Amino acid sequence: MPATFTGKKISWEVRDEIGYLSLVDPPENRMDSAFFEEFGVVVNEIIPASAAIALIISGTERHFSSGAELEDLFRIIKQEKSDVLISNFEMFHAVDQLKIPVIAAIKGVCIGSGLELALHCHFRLCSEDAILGLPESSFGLIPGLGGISKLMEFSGKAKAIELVLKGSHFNATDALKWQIVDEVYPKKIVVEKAAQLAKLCVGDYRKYNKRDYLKRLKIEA
Amino acid sequence: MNNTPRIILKREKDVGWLQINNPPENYLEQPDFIEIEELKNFIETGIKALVIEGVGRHFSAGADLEKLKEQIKDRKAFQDQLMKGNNLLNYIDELEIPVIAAISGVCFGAGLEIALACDIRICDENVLFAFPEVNHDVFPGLGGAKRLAELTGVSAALELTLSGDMINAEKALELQIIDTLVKKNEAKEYAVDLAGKITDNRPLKVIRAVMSSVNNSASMRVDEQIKCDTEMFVELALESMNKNND
Repeated sequence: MPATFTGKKISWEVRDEIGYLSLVDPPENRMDSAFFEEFGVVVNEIIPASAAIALIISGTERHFSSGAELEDLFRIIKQEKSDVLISNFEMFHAVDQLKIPVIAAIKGVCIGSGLELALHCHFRLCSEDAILGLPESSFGLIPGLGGISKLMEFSGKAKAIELVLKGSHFNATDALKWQIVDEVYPKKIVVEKAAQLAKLCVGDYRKYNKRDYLKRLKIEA
Repeated sequence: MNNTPRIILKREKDVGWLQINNPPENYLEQPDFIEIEELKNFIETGIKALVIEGVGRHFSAGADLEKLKEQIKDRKAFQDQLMKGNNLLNYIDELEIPVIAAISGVCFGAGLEIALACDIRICDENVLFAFPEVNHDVFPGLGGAKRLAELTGVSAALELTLSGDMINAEKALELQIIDTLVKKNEAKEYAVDLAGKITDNRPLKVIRAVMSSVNNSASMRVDEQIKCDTEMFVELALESMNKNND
């Protein structure tokens, strides 16, 4: 398997044993069919075969991702290819199921399926300027890639219902208060902090120790 | 005898209200406090959210013990009532619209069991919670201990259920039994405001899909969830496309 992958939407490389999956279609890093094709290759084939000891997911330039391309989604649905949607959902779930620590380094806009991807990561480190939200209900849709269930897991049922049905955006401070993100940092150091956290988890990584790793990250700083 | 209904169902715009109407303590005279068919018919008028509250100062102090002692003499009939009560709370729990409990005053026993079957619990700072059943050598009979354990974890739920201890609103927030703590007498206002904010401009179809997904998360395996969420998404997307083509 190649150690690097350079696509139109995604890039993958391993530096210092840590795998970096970057969304490289700035400014918004939208998630269209081409994105999911490349994402599938990286998540289902390249990462499991790589020697990376941790995975950091981030967006290049200003934003994490502003989510799905509605027109593209509608085209898929018109062609009755809902299997594609199932397989997109399964890719996000596969991220959650990875045995290595998976950290989302979030800055700028992280909306819709962008936030759903971040929610499938094991940790979310977030920049102070981040804007998050699941706005699908305001377009007459629902978050379709597991966002509802993952949000419930972190923020609780009541807050998840409220946020999904309101569909409005929220900032990093609120996201932290509602336990949707784990830590908030100045945007310049978010990826650096993610790498530091990755190293802390390595060796004997257990998801249930999440709080301990985050505590150690705080102490080291 | 009086003929005052013990439960009032009313609708204000798109929000339905279920009021426990036996003040001041709002004791529940039977476990099946409303006919499930009556509630179903009410929901099917197309309300987008349901708020449950007590009339007056208190949410509910739970079962009326005097009535209970009478009812239990006919064991078979009481068992049937208890089953109906359980079916009723399961129905409320699984409703495909958000159900909000606006809690003030006391919220004990079966009253707490009703609140626990709701999706969102708003509570004012003066509220007291308890499962006092153990003091009468019984236990919460409407699934309350299990629902409590889902929120607090098994050990805190066992402590509360086995001790019968009363806890205040602040403690309930800390134990994640309630979701939002508001000032005295403000629970109802907060609940109605929240119900509006989460349902205004949202078609019932979208609300139902979101709530099914929420309910499925608790009961389904991930592969089943993926299938259901995708089906609902496709249906809503098709509808949205058709609308745009009109």
